[in-house]
Amino acid sequence: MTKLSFRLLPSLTAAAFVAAAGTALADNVLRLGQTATLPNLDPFVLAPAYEPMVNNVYDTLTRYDGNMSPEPRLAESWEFSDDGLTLTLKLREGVAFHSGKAFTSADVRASFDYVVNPDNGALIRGFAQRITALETPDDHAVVMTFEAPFPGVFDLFELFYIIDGESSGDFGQTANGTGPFTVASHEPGTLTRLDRNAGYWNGAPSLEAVEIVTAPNQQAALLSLRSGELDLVTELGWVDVLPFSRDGDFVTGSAPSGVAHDLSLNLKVPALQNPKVREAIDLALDRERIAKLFFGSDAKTWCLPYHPNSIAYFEEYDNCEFDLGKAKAALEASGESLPIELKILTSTEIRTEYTTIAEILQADLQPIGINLTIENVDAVGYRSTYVDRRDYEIASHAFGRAGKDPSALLETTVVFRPDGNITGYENPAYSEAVKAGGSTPVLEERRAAYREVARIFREDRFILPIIPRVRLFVSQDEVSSVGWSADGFAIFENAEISE
Amino acid sequence: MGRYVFSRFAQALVVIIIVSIIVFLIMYLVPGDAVTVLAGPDPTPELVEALRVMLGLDQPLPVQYGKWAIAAMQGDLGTSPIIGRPVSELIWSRLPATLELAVAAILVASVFGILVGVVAAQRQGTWVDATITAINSFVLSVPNFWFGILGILCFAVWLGWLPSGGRKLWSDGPLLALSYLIMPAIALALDSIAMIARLVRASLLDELSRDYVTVARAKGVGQSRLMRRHIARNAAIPVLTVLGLRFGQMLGGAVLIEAVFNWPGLGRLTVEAIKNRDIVLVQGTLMYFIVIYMTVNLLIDLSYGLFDPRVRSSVGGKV
Repeated sequence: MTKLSFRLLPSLTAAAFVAAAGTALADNVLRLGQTATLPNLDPFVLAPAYEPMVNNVYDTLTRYDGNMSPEPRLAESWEFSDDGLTLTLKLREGVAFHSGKAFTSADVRASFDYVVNPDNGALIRGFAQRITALETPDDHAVVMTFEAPFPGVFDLFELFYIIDGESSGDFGQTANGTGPFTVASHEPGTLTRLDRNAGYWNGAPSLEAVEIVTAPNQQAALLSLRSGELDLVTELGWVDVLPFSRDGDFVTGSAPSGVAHDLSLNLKVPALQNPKVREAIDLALDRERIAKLFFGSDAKTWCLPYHPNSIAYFEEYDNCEFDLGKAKAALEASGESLPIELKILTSTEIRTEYTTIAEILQADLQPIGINLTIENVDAVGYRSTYVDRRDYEIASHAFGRAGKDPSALLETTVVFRPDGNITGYENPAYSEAVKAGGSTPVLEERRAAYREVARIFREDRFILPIIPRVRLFVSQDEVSSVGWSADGFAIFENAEISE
Repeated sequence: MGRYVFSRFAQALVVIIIVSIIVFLIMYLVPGDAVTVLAGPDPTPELVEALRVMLGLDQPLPVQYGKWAIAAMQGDLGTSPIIGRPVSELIWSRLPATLELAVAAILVASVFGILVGVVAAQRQGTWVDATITAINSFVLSVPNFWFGILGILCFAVWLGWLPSGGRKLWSDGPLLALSYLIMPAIALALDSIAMIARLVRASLLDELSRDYVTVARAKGVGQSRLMRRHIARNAAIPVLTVLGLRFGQMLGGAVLIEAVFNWPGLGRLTVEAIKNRDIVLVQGTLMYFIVIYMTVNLLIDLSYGLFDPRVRSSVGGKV
């Protein structure tokens, strides 16, 4: 080989690689990178890894629009009985599962049976049990009966994915939904490819396929976005998004996530049984700083676990403040001997923000007389300690279903539900108010009940809401019309990649 | 020879049994289990209990282990409760990627490690030797994944020559597959190159100072023949040992490199299994690692005979 050809060799090799790689990139396939591993295709686990999959493979009966009004999906129309105890749904005709099987009311029945079966571990099981009977008078009608009016039923529908009644239960390798994309291949922990469902009842999607790529290293995923290997990366921090927002080749944006950060205070811990200690911690919680740090200057803070447009929101109770002087005074008034030693449970593996919140709180509590020790464990260790054993003192945590009907939030999440509350909080007045708010369709009655709940939250401070999470994402500028559900789950039905 | 191989596999069996018991105990002691993962963030106590019974986690630990061990002896490594697929299927699905990366990395490490080591030995005491030594020290002191991220930044983001991550099959096109393999293989091989280069240099210099080299030169044996027939063979054994160990480690999965390059290998599968407390999958991948590691070591031991006749007669005779 001549000297010249040796000099040309690297360039020729690079050109050959670029040409080879180019064949993989020039297509109408949207590649989404996420750090979480999608182990299977079960639509009822509802962990972050499943979020880009569920609304694209499966359909729901209804889905909230941007104004939180339910829109028809597999249910074409619906009607409540006058007493609010019965809901009749008329199902869409001409809908087929990916297998080709026609969708009927029997599949709604099968999906319901699957969800309420405790062996299946469906997250919405408790909520679905509000439906006391489900009848299918014909192939395209479903009648649901409730023990008491169920104003949160559309919240349930939002997460109630319809599965094929004949193949339900095996989500390890494939899934048979009615959604806009079919599962072409699923390699757990690496790649899940969803192909366009040409026979989708709402019209075939524009995208040929969606690839959900597991990219365990977030920095590497962002580099892949820059190099064009990925088209969309979600669940980012403000700091990650900032460099892309100044780059014209990318689009940055935010979507609601349906998740909010909180501090859970375990009332089994003697010091935390003292209301003044809980008040001191609340006053030492710098919500503004945390919000700005995570989501930038437009970020909101929460004292109550609801969005201001919620029927359960009351401005007079949205009254928390950051004041270390008052926090110290509250602690001194508590009668506890100082300093108080407490531990805070966190898991960087679940979210780095958990630990950042713990560190900020640790720094602010130390001067007023509370020494906070941070216990940082892995994701499963966290859940085991927090949920299973409840062996924590303070936990940096995030709850879901934020921003939906308050009954969904207050009755099903471990931090708010009155029975078996994760903090050990027991208060008959709270139980009564939560039950009352979720059992009547009359707005005034619901508002009255939730006003009482809000008052109790701020008085008893067993859960300290901090900030609602925002789903920050970056995409190539060619990507457009990605939709987001009320829970912040990606919807690719109308997404497009321009030339 | 047959008895030797048999005894090595018998040793492996003992190791497998001991390690599987230890792993079972460790997984039992750490907080959380598969139910914690399956039950989601807002489980009720009834749900947790039902799942525990369904997965058999309510039974005493010796019973759980015994059931797993009996099934494993019959070739059934079980089904992952988290992923919902047979463990053997999951291992087989990741094995090609792991093998591909490990073979590519060890080839890169061997070729470049030996080449650099020989050059350093031949230029001992010169600026070339000093530069190689400095670079080796730098490479050994920086973690592989850092080079991986640097590589992505240079070759994928800035130059656009190579893809930033993932894997393509050779059936998709050899050049395409190679373009995905080249960066992770080099990143994985870098510290092995440095280590092998150091070893080759040291071994060669050690051999060059031996009396037999002086005698051979005095008898008029040419430098090339001396290096090929005598010095290289003697210096090869320690290098071969290190190469074998590194190859065994690479076959066990290169977790960080796999994560950075999104390479679908066994390392990531194992880490995910540990994170999910998926004890069935952890045990399965562990069996694989032990068998692979001991097989590679056995092959390396047997290959010593190719370079040293004394070893050949020892293994072929009584061991």
